[in-house]
Amino acid sequence: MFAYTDPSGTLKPARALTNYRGRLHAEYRQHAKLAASAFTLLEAFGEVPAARQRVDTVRWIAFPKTAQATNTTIDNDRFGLQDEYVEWRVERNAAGAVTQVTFTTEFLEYYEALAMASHAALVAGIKAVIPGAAPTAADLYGPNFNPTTAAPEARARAFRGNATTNPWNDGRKGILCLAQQFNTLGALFNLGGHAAVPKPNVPAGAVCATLGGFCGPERNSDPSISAAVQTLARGSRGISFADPVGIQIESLGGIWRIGATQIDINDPAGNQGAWTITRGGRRAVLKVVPGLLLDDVAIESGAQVAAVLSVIAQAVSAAEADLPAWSRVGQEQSQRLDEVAAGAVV
Amino acid sequence: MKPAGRPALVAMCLVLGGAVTHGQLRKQAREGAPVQALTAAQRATLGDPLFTLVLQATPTETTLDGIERRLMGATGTRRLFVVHEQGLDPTRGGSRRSVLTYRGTTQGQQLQPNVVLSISFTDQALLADDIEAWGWDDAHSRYNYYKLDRQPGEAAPSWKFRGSSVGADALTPAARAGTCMRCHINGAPVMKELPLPWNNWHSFKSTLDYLDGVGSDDWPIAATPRFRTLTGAESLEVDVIVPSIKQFNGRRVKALVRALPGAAGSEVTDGKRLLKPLFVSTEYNLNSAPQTSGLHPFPAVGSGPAEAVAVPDTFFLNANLLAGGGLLQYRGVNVPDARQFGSVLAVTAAEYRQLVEDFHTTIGGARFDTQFAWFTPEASHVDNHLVDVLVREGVITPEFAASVMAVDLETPVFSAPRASLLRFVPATFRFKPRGPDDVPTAHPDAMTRGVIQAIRAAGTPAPGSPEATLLALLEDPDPLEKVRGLVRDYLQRERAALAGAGRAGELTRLYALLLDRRAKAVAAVPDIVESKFLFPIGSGQ
Repeated sequence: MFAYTDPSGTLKPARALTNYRGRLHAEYRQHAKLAASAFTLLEAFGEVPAARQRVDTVRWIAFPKTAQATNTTIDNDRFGLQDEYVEWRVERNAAGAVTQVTFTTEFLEYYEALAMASHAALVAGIKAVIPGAAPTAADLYGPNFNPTTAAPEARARAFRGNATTNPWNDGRKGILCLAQQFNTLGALFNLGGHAAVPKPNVPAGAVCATLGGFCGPERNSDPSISAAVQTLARGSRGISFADPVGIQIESLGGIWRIGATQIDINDPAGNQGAWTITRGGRRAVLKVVPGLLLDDVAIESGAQVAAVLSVIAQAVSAAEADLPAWSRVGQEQSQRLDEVAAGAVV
Repeated sequence: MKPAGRPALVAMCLVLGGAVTHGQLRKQAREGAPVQALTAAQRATLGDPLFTLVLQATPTETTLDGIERRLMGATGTRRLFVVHEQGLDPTRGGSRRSVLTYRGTTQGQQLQPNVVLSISFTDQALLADDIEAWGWDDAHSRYNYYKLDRQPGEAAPSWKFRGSSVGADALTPAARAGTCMRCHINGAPVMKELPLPWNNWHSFKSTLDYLDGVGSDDWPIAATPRFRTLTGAESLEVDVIVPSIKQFNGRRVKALVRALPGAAGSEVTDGKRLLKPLFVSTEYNLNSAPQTSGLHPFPAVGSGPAEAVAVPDTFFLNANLLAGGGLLQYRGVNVPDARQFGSVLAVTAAEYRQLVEDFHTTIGGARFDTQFAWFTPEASHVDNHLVDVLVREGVITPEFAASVMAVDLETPVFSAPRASLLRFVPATFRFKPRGPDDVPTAHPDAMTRGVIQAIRAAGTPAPGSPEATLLALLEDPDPLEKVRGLVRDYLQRERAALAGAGRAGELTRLYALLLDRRAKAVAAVPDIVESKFLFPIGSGQ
């Protein structure tokens, strides 16, 4: 199995990382076996010189384009509306002013891997994200669940099932990971895998609309990813999501000021601590320092910030001819691919 | 920078005075005018990143590598965007236009969104001896425009200062001729096709396959380092153009408002100029359905849309400003039903093809249409945002803004009736500045009362006239609720018209309206229409 990287660096003990890799590998394998798809295993790129590979960055805006709603509604209806693989939590002071906005792009599977390792591992993982957190078992898994006697998979299931009511994730006490119904690892792989089926008679930018439920044409994220993947696939390139797979928070647009002074909000050395990206780009915090303005307006909502927040995903590709035969289009059912996927060959 | 494409600029005059000295930044007032030295006082007014980092110390730097090295320093990064009205034609031999933007901070100068270069390119190379550029000077609150070109009499290309945004909105058409301000009407950056799907731009909605660095059909230039930073127009919109215009508008408002002593509030020093964007379409943006028409000549005409064409809400009314929210983040005037127009009309593929055929629509002399269907002018971001700032800062009330928009409500752009009402705005007026948490001044505020008085002073308006409509709304105790009602009525009327046996007739009416708006757009800013491929025109019906 490919040695998938821990994107956030907190999968401890080692079996949590093993669990996570197992989850990822299942997705890579499933979609590498998708008929006619140029999507393949990362293992294939281990056989291609680095100079013959390329990494494409797909970029989109975090603001949920499909939400015909006010900023306040978008902030408050996270699980209904925040569907661009980015979710956020807004903190306000007693007067109602925004003090901090925390964005996450971390997949729920990351915490499931910790939950499978042990309850203690999950709690430690949460404390790494939210220092001082003291989650109870009921917080994390729901009522009447004993994590110490439950099987690893049962803990993961319970954590997932409780993700939208877990106070450390639903915004009451914190935010950990994506939990909106469309923001899943499986959805990302489904999109990538199906968009990698070359459709030369459809413009790459219009392929999304042909992918049925795998792609939401009205979103920012899905059409961006599908267009990029399709462009590579129709160029006879084998594709995979670059390691570590996931969505990275890239940068804030807009014009930022603290008082009258324009600042480079994306420069940690010059932004006075107002914007911090951590966990391999999976988490970012905007601290509303006194006088902070975005386009001359005070920060009044998270959606306002999401409207200028760019996130990225990365696809690695190589010409089909450079890739090992087992990974090429048309070889999705080959025994060799199964052997590689099973770890028999690396 | 011109907003799209690059028409041939014909030098009408020789440089006067014979030999032109090099070694300093010079100026050229308009195309064909003499190239002249900048005075020390004029140089002192320039403070944008392009001038500060490049042209101030090294005005003879004319290589793109050298310009970028000085701009980007050791840590800056570049992004390249591409636009062209024939952009989807992969045939080699023509040119396209690139827009280069930069991120990072060099010697204290923040690059994004404050400096942009525009350079044409062929399949082989960037035509870097002809560069248009703009830079934002934060200290002086202005855009400066520059051009690198070779004028008659010049042995080599040289940089010229080509004007600034100062007073641009007040220029006459004659004063704009031959200047950057013939397209940059308000002095701000222009990206005509600002919103999704960014017709004519490379974007995730429309990838230019010959530049993507994938496959065997690429233009050779696609393999060069700059083109490896090819980025979709969606990023140009959000990261550069929208914030640039917001910043610019904020300064425009400040420039025309003065604080009064004590608790007297503030005063607008030129009411008609400041409120003009509420009444007059000073610029426009181009929107469309997100679906392709299937009838674009490039790369090859198809047989029509593959799916129903969703007509944008901004075709029907100024939904962005009435409802607010969305990517542009207007506060708006709290008429949320305006957004429902986005689902009023889905033209079936068969209907769309029939409309295009019935009207004999052509683009560039060829059948049929733009890449994205229902290509329509809409109220511009530069106008809408300025109005949003006026409401947000308490210069005008939401009731006043909504009332004006409700005059000729169904004509969100290029409305002559609405424009005619600007004459009633007082030359100066006072207002109470509004903080973020302040409740808006109660309707009617002093300015509204002044407009009411001015309309009444002009005589009793004829029933149904723009003056009568505005007067009735302004004299209503709750104009916002009245406007919401008008929007709901309009919505109901439009839905009914499109639901029954009259659908075909209504589609014909709306499509004729679409073509008429395109014609008005051409007339409004002729120089911005850089080729016959921008607007499909109709000759039928």
